Amino acid sequence: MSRFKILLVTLLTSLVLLSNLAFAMTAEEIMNQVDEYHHLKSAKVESEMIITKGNRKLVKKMSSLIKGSKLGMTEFTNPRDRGSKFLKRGDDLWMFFPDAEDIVKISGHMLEQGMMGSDFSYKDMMESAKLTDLYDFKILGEKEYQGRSCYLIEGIKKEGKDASYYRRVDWVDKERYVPLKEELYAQSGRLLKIMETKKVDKIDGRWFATHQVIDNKLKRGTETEYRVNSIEFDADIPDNSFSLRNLRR
Amino acid sequence: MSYLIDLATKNLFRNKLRSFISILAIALSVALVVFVKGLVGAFIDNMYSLHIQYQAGDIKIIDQEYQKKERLLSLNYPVDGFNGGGIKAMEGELKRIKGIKRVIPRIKFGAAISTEDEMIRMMGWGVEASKELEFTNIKDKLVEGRMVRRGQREVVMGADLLKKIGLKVGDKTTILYQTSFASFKGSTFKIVGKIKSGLKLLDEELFYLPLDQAQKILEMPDMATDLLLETDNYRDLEGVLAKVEQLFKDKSADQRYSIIPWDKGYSMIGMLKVGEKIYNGIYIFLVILGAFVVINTMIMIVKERTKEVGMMTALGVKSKEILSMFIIEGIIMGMVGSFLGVIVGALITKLTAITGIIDYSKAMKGVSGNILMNPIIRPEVDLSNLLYAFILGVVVTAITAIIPARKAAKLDPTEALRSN
Repeated sequence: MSRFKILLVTLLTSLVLLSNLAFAMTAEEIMNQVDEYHHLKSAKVESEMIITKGNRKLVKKMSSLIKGSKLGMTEFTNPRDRGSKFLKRGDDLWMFFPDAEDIVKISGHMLEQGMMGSDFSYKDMMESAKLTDLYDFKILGEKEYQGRSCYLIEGIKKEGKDASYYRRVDWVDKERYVPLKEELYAQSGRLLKIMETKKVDKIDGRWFATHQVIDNKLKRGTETEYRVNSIEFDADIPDNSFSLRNLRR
Repeated sequence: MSYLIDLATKNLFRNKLRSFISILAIALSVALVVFVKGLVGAFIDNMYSLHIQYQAGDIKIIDQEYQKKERLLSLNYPVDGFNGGGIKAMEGELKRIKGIKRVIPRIKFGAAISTEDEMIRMMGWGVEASKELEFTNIKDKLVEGRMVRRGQREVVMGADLLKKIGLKVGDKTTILYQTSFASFKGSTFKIVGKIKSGLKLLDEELFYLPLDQAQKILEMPDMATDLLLETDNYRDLEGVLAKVEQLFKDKSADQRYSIIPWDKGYSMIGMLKVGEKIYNGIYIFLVILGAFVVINTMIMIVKERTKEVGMMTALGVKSKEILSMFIIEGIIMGMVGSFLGVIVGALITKLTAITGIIDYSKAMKGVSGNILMNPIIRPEVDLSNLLYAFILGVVVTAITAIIPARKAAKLDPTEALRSN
């Protein structure tokens, strides 16, 4: 072969190789992007939870303020729950009820239970830490889901970190970096919950799941839907919004 | 006949020690029977009565779906009356049935109190205070304060539960619960009374609050989770049960609700009833044991008096009379022994009852609160028990005396006279 041809082949080969390197994202990079869109540095959210138990349907509406991963305040606005407030500060959860004379503090494993009879646990709601901080991710492959091309990514809980689930498998939309489906497992290998995203919106330049459904595999006949009705990213929220005094008001 | 009795009596005195030992054996067996029967009777009666007061009523009415998942304490399948008419109306209809003395509604629900370091789980019972005080023995178990009052945000808790949450009578506490609409809420109550009963259920697991308050906070107006019925006689439910079932059928409520008599549908009660029968067998066996001493004595007597028997027969005494004489000896020993046994037994039973010596409290520590048993067992001294033991003693002794007596009666006089 002439020298020129060898050069051409080398150039073409290296171009191909380089281009592959350039476009092959690591699992961590993918999840970082997911976190970017999903993780709320600070936000004001109006949302609702629709719990279906057999043939009963219960709707809970919430107004939430979120600041970083340590501060969160949620107030229920639907008639039956009106006035109930939950404040998260670090690892503590404070609760205010109109019918109670004192605010209640709870901690630890109580948080793992279903909130208000739903399949979202308090921890799920309050877990606004970055996924990449809590899990080690790796790409399992690629799959299609609901007509969209997705990365299939598995995450195992990092040691010493306090995540709700030991293992998770995410179908991440390649284009929008939003998990369209999640399977959540316990350390025993048991499938605990399946989350499916029904609607994704672009708000303030981010793609965000605004309608999700959770199927709790441990309880039969129940299903919980979570809808975001409005969300304001990077809102300016003063720290004293998360004070106990504000909780009591 | 009377000369036989005379003879028998005199014969017993011939060997005072031997007679005494036989009588003692019977006395001990009979005393034991009196005591054990008193103990078992008290134990079983106590379990029945606690079961009725706290779990089953004489008859219990619950939703059939609720029954399937009773452990979950679901609020989704309450008793809400006939065709949703409410429990007050249902109570009215039930009280018109002859034999129904009281209708006792209860709302049972899961709750929790958050302390500094943990979430203490418990069960709330919304009750009508006056009915509970009359139907159960709760009045005697209130060691401090008083029972809750209708319309007030008050609770009564067990001593152990109060210790767990670190509070006392007079304090206020916020109790967390979930309403029937899956709303997670908290309400503040004042602790107005303390219970110490020896029952884990009452002392550690549950708290009482007024029914109307429970209905309010749980959003269950005019409803209950359980409806207990008290009848005139819990031992004879057939008639009343049939009438209740008919009422429910007439109101087309028989497919929705279960009507459960206290002694059916509860596995433990079934086991206790079988236990009662087994114990009867044990009593008989106990007395037979004592009677063995009598048999032994009588065999010895017969052997010793073979010559005498021969002589009597030769003198014209009939074999039937010989038989009677020996049996009478046995019966006299039986009667004296049983009489003594009954007295001693009654004394011991009464003593253990008064001192409350039999105390299973430590043994019950790990047992589930669902087993309702008073750990201090006070055996009962019942006239019928005493009579039963006495008659048992006499009859068994008489029967066991027959064997050696028949041997004596069958003796060939010539052989007997010749024997040594």
